[in-house]
Amino acid sequence: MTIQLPFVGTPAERAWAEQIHNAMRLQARFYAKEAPIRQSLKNIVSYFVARNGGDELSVTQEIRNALNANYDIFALEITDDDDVIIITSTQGKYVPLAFDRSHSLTNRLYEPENPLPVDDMSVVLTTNRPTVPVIEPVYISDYWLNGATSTEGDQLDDAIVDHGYTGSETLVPDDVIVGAQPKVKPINPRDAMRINLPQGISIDLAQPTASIMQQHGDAIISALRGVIEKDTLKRIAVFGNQVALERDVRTFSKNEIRQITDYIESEVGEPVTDSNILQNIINVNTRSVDFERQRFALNFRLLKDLEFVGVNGANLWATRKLLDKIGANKRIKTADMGAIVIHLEEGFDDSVNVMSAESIHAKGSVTHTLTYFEWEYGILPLTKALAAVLPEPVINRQSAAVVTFEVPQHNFSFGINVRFPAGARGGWLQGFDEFFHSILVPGAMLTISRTNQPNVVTITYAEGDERIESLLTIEEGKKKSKFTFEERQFTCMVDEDLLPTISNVGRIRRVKFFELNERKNMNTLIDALFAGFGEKAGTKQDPLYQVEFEQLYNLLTIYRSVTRNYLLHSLQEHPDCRLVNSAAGLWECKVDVATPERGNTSFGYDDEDEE
Amino acid sequence: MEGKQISFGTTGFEELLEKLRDAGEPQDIAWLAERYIEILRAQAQTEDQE
Repeated sequence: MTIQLPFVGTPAERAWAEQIHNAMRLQARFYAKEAPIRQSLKNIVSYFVARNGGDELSVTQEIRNALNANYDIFALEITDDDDVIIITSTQGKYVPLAFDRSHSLTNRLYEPENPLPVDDMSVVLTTNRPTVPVIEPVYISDYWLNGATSTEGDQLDDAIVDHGYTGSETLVPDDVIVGAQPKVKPINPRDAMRINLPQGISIDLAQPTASIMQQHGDAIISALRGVIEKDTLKRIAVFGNQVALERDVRTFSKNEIRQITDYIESEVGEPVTDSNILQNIINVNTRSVDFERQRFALNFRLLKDLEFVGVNGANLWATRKLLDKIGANKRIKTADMGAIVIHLEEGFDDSVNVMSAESIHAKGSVTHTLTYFEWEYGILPLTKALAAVLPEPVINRQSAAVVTFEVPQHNFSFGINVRFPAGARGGWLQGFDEFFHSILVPGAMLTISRTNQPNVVTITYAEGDERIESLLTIEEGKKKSKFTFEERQFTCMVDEDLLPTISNVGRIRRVKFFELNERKNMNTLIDALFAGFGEKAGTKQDPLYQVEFEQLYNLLTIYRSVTRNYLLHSLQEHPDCRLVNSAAGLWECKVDVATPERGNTSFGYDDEDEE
Repeated sequence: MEGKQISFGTTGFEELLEKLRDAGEPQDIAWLAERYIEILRAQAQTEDQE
């Protein structure tokens, strides 16, 4: 755009004025046409001396003359350094913008044409700022921040530092330092190279990275996960052990999510791997260069819409509806079962007492004797021993996974819903009902082994001679259920103590049935079992019952998941139980008179069936 | 000299994001932790020199 400005003065002054204006417009070619363009006289002179040659003093004088002649176009400003600043604009004279504030929002609010009554103004606006909650920092003692491993040398160093001694001066007694300046504790160079993790671990950064990671890798990763999670901007996307910059992770449209949901629920009908979804729904080839990036994006984005039920090595996705069907058992309520197995998370899991979890993991298989409770409800408690052969969860706080159990002895397989421990809930595996009821009986000896496929394990049982026994079962009533016995034919080897025959547990018909939600309280069950199975040892006024520990354990396994450690703890904590013969493991319990005992109709006993 | 406190999770987090961006591909969280240690070490050394 050519701008013709009315430069005035002698021809030389007009020529100078035009050249100066052109040079300044070049500097401001992206400015608004009314925006001020500023340049110092010194720079302008240097520019033209370099460009046209000549003496600096004479050029300065010529430029000054031109500027003075065209004062309408060039304004001059003297700075504190006595430099002259030339001000112009693309359109010529610079005119500062005048803001019309007569219609500002402030004016309209405070001085409206038709003001409201003053009382009502408080409704419209307030000068009070809203209270912003302040998060108080949590004070952590330096003792813990510094690793709590202070040695004598450290203490000496600290003492020296406290006296302001830095090594280059002579130590003087305390009383000599009178009127000294307030001491600033210098940073110990050794401390400057240390970093404290939120867990209280102090790390020496002077060590090589590999060595730090080897020593504190888990703690650092855990702390880093916490930092990423707390980042309010959520700038890092995490899926399992993988991370990426969130804004670089592609998103999926609502339509694509709907297609994936339909595919899993309607077409496949079982959990589907991420690769399968990418190939069949998103049309990404496994050999595609960015396949891994696409896979990460899919897994990260699906966390919001679908249920992740995969394990390490197999990222499986299901819908909530589908997951509810896998291992579905209407008799099991998550809260009840979670409470029944919570003792495993409370330190009473004794499944790795004989063989460590590491050894079981290395061996790749674990044996387990099926209890009545497990058989009846088709579950297995997720003990440390079982977890050692099962695949690990992938994501933080993963609640469930679907693992395929193959039965090589019968050539079939089924999906099991693995419920991982969470909060006040223990972990268990659900969905064995059909397998247990059709082939096995309580007391069966199972072996669960890992396979080459990450989400597949095998389950086998020790086979034995064919037998027919009358075994415990539940007769479901419309209002209440009760224990009964029915004949079963089986070919598996069993632990005779856990086989619920009439001779072993016949008396159970005289003990209250207890619904699943009533079995969480150990003391109630212990009282009922002492009263139902114990040998009377007290008087009518002071009724005492005695039961051997192993018998009590076997009986409890009918009602709930229990470990010997947990039973021992419960007996020790029970106010009315005591060990009367440690060699025989004989326990005695005073059953409260209020507790229904044998023959009490409130238990619904059926005395006519007693052996 | 009163140095700036190096704090895990705050110090060098922006640089960590840069590293992740430069990587381009999803990375293992252990890789990220290693990079973070290196960033923190570099910051600690810079402060030490100051």
